Formats: sequence, structure tokens, C-alpha cells
Amino acid sequence: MTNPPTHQVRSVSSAEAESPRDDQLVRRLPIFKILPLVAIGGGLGAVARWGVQELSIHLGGALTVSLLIVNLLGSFMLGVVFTRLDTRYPSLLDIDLPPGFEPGRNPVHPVLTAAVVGGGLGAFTTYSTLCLEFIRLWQAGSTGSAIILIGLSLILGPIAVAIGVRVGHRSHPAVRA
Amino acid sequence: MTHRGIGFRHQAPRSRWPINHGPKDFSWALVNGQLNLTKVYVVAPVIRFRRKFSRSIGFDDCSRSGSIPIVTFFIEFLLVAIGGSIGAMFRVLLTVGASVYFKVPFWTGIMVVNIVGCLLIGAAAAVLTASNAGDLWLVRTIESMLGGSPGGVHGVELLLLTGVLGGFTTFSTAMLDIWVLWRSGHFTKAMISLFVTPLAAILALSFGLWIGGGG
Repeated sequence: MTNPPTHQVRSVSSAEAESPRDDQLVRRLPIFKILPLVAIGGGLGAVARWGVQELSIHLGGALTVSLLIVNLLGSFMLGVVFTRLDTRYPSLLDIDLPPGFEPGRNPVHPVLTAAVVGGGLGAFTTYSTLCLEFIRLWQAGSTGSAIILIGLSLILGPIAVAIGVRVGHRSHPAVRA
Repeated sequence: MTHRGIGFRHQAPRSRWPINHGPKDFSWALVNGQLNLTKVYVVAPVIRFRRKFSRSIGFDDCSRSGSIPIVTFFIEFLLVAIGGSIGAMFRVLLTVGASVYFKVPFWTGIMVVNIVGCLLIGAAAAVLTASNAGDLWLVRTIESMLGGSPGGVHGVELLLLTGVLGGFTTFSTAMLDIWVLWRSGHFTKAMISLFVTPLAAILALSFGLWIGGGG
């Protein structure tokens, strides 16, 4: 009876040893390097949301309409940005990008991704104000508006993301070429 | 001001703190013989700022006196921007930390962030709609900066509700996670994320309203 080997010795060819593995290509960033740009993006996103709210109130609309506009527009833009900044893009759309466009080989700088996705678009859209407006409408007695607000948001949100991904995919330089 | 000569940095100042400096006198900030640093570093700059801009325009107390509209707008802009920065940083810290250190799936971090943000916004809204909200220190400070009406909570609403908590919670990333889950075949998880999050968030918001005393 032979014992299994405690450790396995792998024979590594020279070409395999020289080319870096996929997990070596992903550099881990310390969090304090991405936080300043996240803060800048978050400030811009929050100010843009506030501007849309004030503009819609100024034009005679309600906070409900501005919430729908902000959240659906933000979802659409995140769908577009997904095809440019997210490394899951080709695998989730079942495509092979041509050489030079593989997300693992030539990635967008992760700080930019964090600033745009985590900061800008994340702060532009909001969940808490949506729920607060739902509760306020419900308590004010306009139950129908409350249900329409949350229902439209939840139905159209993923659809807006899907439309954004489709638009971004169609206009992707690797796909158009 | 007279020329004090070479090496004036090493000379003692003409008067030290408890002696009257004229406009720089902080004896009004003394409480029980101790210097209240909050009054020196927070209240005094605000008062100086308001005096400067109200004097430059020249009108006195009316509903939004003390600062001209463009200054008010600038301060509101800064309140929303600073709040949004703080909220976005906390969200990224929480989601990245949860996925890196606690190895949770990528869609649960945003779920938890949204539910916690709704709990907090419920508590904050209840506290700010209470009748004695104008007595809170943060409310008084920000309203004095904005030159708002006494007892108003407009500035704090901009800072906390629109800025911090609006930037902390996110709709777009939650919807993108749902799309990614759906696209990669995890239909159950997508449905959980789509329907459990708003239910839990609204329950958490009601709980927050109850905590804050709003009923």
C-alpha cells in the first residue's frame, strides 16, 4: 500500500512560467487609493441628483417623477458603463472580444471603475429616498401613487440596465469593428 | 501695523488670550472659566462669515438674510456634495470590505447597504420632523450658516437625507446586480434581490421612523 504524495511537483514549461497567470494580472489596490476618487464621484453624483430634484420641483413636477427619472437614468447609464468598465462584460454576453480588448489583459484602471460605478452613478441613484417617498405617499393616503412608484422602479430598473447594456454593446469599438 | 523688526517671530505677542484683543476677543466663549473650543472654531467662523456677507450687501434681518442667495446656493451645493462623498465612501468601504474580508456574494453587500440606509433615513427623517428639531446642535449650526428661518431643518435635510444617505444607498448597482444574476442563470437570487430588498427596506424604514419617534 502506497501513501499518496504529500505534495505534487508540477513540471512547468518555460512559456508557462514566463506568461503571468490571470490572478497575477489582477493587482489588488489598497482601499485608501480608491476612496478619494470615490468621494469626488460621490459628491458629483449627489449634486446631480439634487439638481434634477430641484429642477423637477421648479418645473412643477413632484419628487416622485424626479426619483423615477434619476433612478432609471442612472440604471441605464450603469448598463452602458458596464460594457466599458466591468470585466464580466464579454462572458455575460457570450462573446469573444478580439485581441487587444480582453478585459483581463488590458483592463481599465480600477480606480476609474470605482469612481464612476461606486462613486458617481452609485450616489446619483438612491434607494433610501425612494423608500422614504413611498412611506410618505402611503401615509398621505395616495396609496396608488406609492405602489406605482415602487412598482415602476422595480420593473423598469432591470429593463433600463438591459437597454443600457445593449446600447453599450452595440456601440462598443470591438463589436462595431 | 508697525514694523517689528528682524526676528519678530521670537518676540512675545503684544497681548495673550485672556486680555482683550478687540475683534479677536473670545471671552464670550468662556464657560465656567474654560474656553469652549467648539464656539471658537465652529461658531466664531460662522458668525464672521455671516457678518462679512450681510455687511457687503447691506440688508438686515429678513427671512433669509445674512447671506446673499449665491452664497446660500454655494453652501447648499457644498452640503450635498460633502454628504454624497461621505455616503459613497462608506458604501464602497462596506461593500468592498464585505466582499474581500467576509467573502459574501457580490449582490448581498448592496442589499445590506440599502436596507441599513433605509433604516437610518427613517430615523433621521423622524428626528428632523419632530417639533424640537431646531434645538439640535447640528441643525442650529447649519441653519446659522445658511441664514435660514429659526427652527428650520432645510440645511440638515440636504446634508443628511439628500447627501449622506442618498449617496450611501444606491439603486443602479442593485439593478445591475439583478441583471447580472439573471444573465448568469441565478434566477432565484435575482428574484430575492429584486423583491426582498424593497420589502425589507420599507420595513426597516418604518422601524427607523419608530426609533426616531416619528410613529
